[in-house]
Amino acid sequence: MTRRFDRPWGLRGLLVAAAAVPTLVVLVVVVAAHVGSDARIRAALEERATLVASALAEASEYGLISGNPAALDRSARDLLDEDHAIASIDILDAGKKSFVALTAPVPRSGLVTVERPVRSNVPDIDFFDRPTPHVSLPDDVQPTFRLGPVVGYARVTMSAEPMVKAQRERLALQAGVILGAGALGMLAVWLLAHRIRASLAAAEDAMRSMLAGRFDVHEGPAPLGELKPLRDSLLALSDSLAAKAHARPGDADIAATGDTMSPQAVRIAADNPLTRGTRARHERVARRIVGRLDAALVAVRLAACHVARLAETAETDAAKERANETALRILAIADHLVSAGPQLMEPMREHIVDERGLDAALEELRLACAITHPGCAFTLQKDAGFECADRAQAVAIHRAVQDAMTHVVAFSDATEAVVRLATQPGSRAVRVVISDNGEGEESNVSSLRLARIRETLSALGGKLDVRRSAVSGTTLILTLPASTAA
Amino acid sequence: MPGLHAPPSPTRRAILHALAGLVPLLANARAWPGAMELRIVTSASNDATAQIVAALSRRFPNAQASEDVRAFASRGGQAIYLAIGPAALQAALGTELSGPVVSAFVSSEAYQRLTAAAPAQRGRALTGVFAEAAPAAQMQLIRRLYRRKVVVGVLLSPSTKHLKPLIERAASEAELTAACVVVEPGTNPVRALSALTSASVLLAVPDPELYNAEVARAILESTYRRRQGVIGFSKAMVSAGTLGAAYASIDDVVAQLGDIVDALMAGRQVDAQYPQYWRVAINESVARSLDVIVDASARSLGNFHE
Repeated sequence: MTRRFDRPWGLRGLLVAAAAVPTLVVLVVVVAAHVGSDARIRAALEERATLVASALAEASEYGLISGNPAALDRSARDLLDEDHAIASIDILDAGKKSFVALTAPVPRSGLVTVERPVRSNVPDIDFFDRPTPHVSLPDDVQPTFRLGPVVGYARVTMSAEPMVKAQRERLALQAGVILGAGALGMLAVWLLAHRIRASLAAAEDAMRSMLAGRFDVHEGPAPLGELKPLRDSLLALSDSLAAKAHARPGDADIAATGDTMSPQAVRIAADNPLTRGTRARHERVARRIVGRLDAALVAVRLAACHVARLAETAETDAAKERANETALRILAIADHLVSAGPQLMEPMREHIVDERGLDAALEELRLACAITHPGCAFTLQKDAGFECADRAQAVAIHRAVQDAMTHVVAFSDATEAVVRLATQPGSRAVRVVISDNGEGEESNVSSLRLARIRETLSALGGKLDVRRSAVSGTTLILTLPASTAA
Repeated sequence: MPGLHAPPSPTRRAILHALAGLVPLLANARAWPGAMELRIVTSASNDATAQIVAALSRRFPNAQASEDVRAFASRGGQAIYLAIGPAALQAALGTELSGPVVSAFVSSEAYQRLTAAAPAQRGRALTGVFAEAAPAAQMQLIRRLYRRKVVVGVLLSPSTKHLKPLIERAASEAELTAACVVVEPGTNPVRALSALTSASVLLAVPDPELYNAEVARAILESTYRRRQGVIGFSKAMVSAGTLGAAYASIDDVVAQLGDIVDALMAGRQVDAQYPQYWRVAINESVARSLDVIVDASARSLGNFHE
């Protein structure tokens, strides 16, 4: 028994109690206000009886003077009918003999009796009945009235019974209304608490699932306004963790770094903002280094091409031959180095695209970018009907998008980047639009990266369209013809 | 035998007084003219008395006024005594005076009552002008207000029932019908009104037994409930709520007193009489409430003394 009361109160219990307390306080105050009201009722009754007796005395003057009890009887009976608190009415003449006497049909208790004299109200004028000269003065004005002799008495007896009854009925009504309102309030609070509790329980379950390594979190019941961000955050966290949990080492990373985050690392990064920020900066620097090395290799390759072209214009055949051989060696080394990275990455890329599809691969890429560069919001959009069944095209698109996103992560100051996948209605050509809101500055690195993208697309009969604007940033439009494999 | 000790009736007493008064009047008739002083007897001074004395002094510059009638009597000499008001009349009647007594500003009821109650005095001449307008004047006013033959109800007490023939004659002359009801002593006058339900208008005559401050309001209320107008006998009553009244002002009475004094000085006998000069007062508000249309001829009715 004691244990039951020692238990901490639940959310529902606390909220219902909070709603019940004001109701109980109001009820207690209302009831307390009615306690000891008998004296007040008696005082009010006396006041009312005095008022009725005074009014009756005022109205009885004519009846008493004229000796006409019928008129008085009617007035008194009307009063008796109208006011149920009146137990009896007695009108007495100047000698206190009964003139009119009426009693309520139902006997009453708690009686209060008030008697008031009936005085005639007489005009203060000369009716030629005074010893002074009988005369109409020129300045006769409106006469004043004065109280004349007592011509009778009005006696009213009132009962507190109807007032007490009415007061009790009022109290019952008030208590009923208060309790009803309180019950409604408590019911509403109970329902509210139920919903809050369900939302919190769902959040708790979701967190427990994630801690256990299960990231398939369900949305659960629609939470209340204030709890919706909590649910959204949990869903986003679960999605992110799920993506990382499904990624394999060296597969879900950004190609330029070749790095990846294990589920445990992702969890740590997600839980610790400081760690997450440091890691993002490191990844950004690493990508820049890799990007510049990549660019350098491409530059060496281009230079070799240039030497080869110069060799072609040499004056002597021997010189031409030597320059050409040298250039070809540089070119071969550069080509080997340039293709070494992608060649290493390409099987992994093909594996991701094959196994999970282009959509999932791009989503994974987006999440990796978002974690690496938290200052930019990466969005992946796919139009209804988008389809890319050609494996080569899918790999090419993945590569191009990765190139573009890597550049954004490593060099761009953009805060928003969007990748949109679409299929052109008529030609069924694949169209990928990659846009960001960076300054759109052209550099050697970006040019080389674009050249590589263009080269990749050209191999599949596609093309690249680049639009730059200081206001709206950079937009890359990748177009690939309809796949014959589809 | 009880009958031998019964007091004489007021009428019989008045006749005896009049006969007793004739002897000295006849004896002294030749001695009065030109040699008589006019002495104004007043009671306790008040605003009304002051106005009356002022009006009399304008009319009779040599007249002397005093509240002490005995002092006047002790002076001796022939004089005419003008008694102003009931108290002064009563004092004059209670004093041996050497000349005729003229009552003024005393209602007919009070005049009859006081003269009947006064001790008999040999050779005393008594006359006067009643305070209220004559029933004929009141009937004229009623006729002018209602403009048709209506029944005029009149409450009378034993003190005023002698007015019944006079009232009926006045009503007849004004083409009205008088319905007089004598209210016995001890009977509530308000209840007596129930005997006059056929009357369109109630004519009030000065009679303290019927009309006094205590019942005035009830009478007005009762008549108003029955849609009956009340014709009073003073301007103050009109202000209190009656439909109208024919009344004599101070100047009206003083003018008539001048005629009476002149007649007395000329050795002529003059009977007590109603005011010769009178005017009317109408309560327009009450008239509207009773749907009585008051025209200019009603408002200007009377026999004024300008």
